[in-house]
Amino acid sequence: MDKTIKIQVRRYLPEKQPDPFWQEYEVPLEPKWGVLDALIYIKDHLDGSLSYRWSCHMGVCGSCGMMVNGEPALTCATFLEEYQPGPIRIEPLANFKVLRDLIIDTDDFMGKLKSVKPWLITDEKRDITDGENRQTPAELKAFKQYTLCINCMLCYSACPVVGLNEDFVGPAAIALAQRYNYDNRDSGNAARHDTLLAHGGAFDCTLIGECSRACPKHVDPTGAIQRYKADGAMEYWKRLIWPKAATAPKNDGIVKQID
Amino acid sequence: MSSSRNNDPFWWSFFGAGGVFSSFFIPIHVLLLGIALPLAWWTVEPETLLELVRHPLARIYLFMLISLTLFHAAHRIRFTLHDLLLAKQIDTPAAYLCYTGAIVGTVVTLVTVWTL
Amino acid sequence: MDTETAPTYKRFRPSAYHPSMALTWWMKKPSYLLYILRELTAVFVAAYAIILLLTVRALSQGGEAWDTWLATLQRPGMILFHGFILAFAVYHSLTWFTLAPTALVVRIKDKVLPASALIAVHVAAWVGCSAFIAWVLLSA
Repeated sequence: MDKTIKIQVRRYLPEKQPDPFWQEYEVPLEPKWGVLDALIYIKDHLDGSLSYRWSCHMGVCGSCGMMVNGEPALTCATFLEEYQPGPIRIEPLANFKVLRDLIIDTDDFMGKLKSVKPWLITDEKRDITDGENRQTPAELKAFKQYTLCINCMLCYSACPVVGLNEDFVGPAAIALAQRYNYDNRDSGNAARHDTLLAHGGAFDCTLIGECSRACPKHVDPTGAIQRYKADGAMEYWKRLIWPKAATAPKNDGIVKQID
Repeated sequence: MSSSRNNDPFWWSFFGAGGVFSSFFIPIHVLLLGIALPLAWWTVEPETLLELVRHPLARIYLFMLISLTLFHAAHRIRFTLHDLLLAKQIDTPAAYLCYTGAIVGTVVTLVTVWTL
Repeated sequence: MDTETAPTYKRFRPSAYHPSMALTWWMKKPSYLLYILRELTAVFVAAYAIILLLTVRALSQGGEAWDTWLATLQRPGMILFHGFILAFAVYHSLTWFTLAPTALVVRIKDKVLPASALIAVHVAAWVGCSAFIAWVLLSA
């Protein structure tokens, strides 16, 4: 081992010790090693009890998000060399419940994601013989950016509103709601308005902009939320002034039966 | 998530309108009426100024500017109190306090510009 | 919020800790501090709305009331306070214009107007509005 770097890990082993604690490891400073490689090295060679999530090691699965020196980051895309001389402090993603070491409880996020119905909702009956549901490049462009979300939850860690207000549905969920709202094949806006206009919806956001700075895929949840506020406020006034003209809620889009 | 009625979009609309108005028009008023006039960089007879603000368009403008700015600020202050004090339970009283302040300010402004 | 992934499942989840945010959270990053400063502009902008209202009131009462109000505005403390108000009001304007493109998408034919152009339009309109108000007041 020529050069090394110190890694401090926020650990939590509830069956051994009730409180979280810091543990320091020394790992080789290999060129092109990501922080994730350092954690894998620790688990393989130094301490098999360390727990963390990862899968693809190439920035698309969204599993390896952690706080690196206080900033949310995908550890596979964050390189040791950038943190010389160290030490590097690694913590579980902020604003989440922690189950063990670097593993956070994703249930709350999954529930919030589901509450905005991020799937195609349509009353249109289509037969297999109708073929593909074609879209023009312009129609695709209207929402494509929002499809790039990998559910890594970095934006939830970056957003102070998520930390201050546990009801807030959060940046990624709203961006994914907009991914369907702006899809011309979808007609589920009304169902999503019900969540996004309610308490905990888009209007809890105070436009800090940290979500877009943290996003590794440049989804820009800030823009998605702001654009929703404009559309949502319009819908609110419509429902207030002339309820009949407001978009009537349709089905919830869950396919009950496929022939 | 609670399903009770959420009026935040209502207040947000006024917050937005007030933000536009105040960002475009407040700084020049501060500079001219709050700094230049008291320091006598510029002098004007109060009668001339009164005549100016009595113009119907000036009355409407002043009412919109003051009232919407108050609604804009009320909304922001409400959320900032929540952010700084980390106290969710103060949000409802803070909302009542801030929006009531803006409504009272609006009524006073209306009476003032009406009876100029 | 419940999910369907067995919320009562405990075997490998004996407990969890939930770190809470510190009262000083907004001091931890420059961007958080700038955000809080942006939000605090509301206090100064609201203060000015009230001062403007008092100015209009003093004008309508005329004579002595106006002289008293002008004397109040001429106090060094009041001038200093207006300096602060002006700084925060300008910060409010600039942050408002730079954030406007997040909500506003302007399409000209098929092209979306870039954020920088939208900000430039806002700043130009701001200069125009200010010049108009200054012209109305100064030429009175």
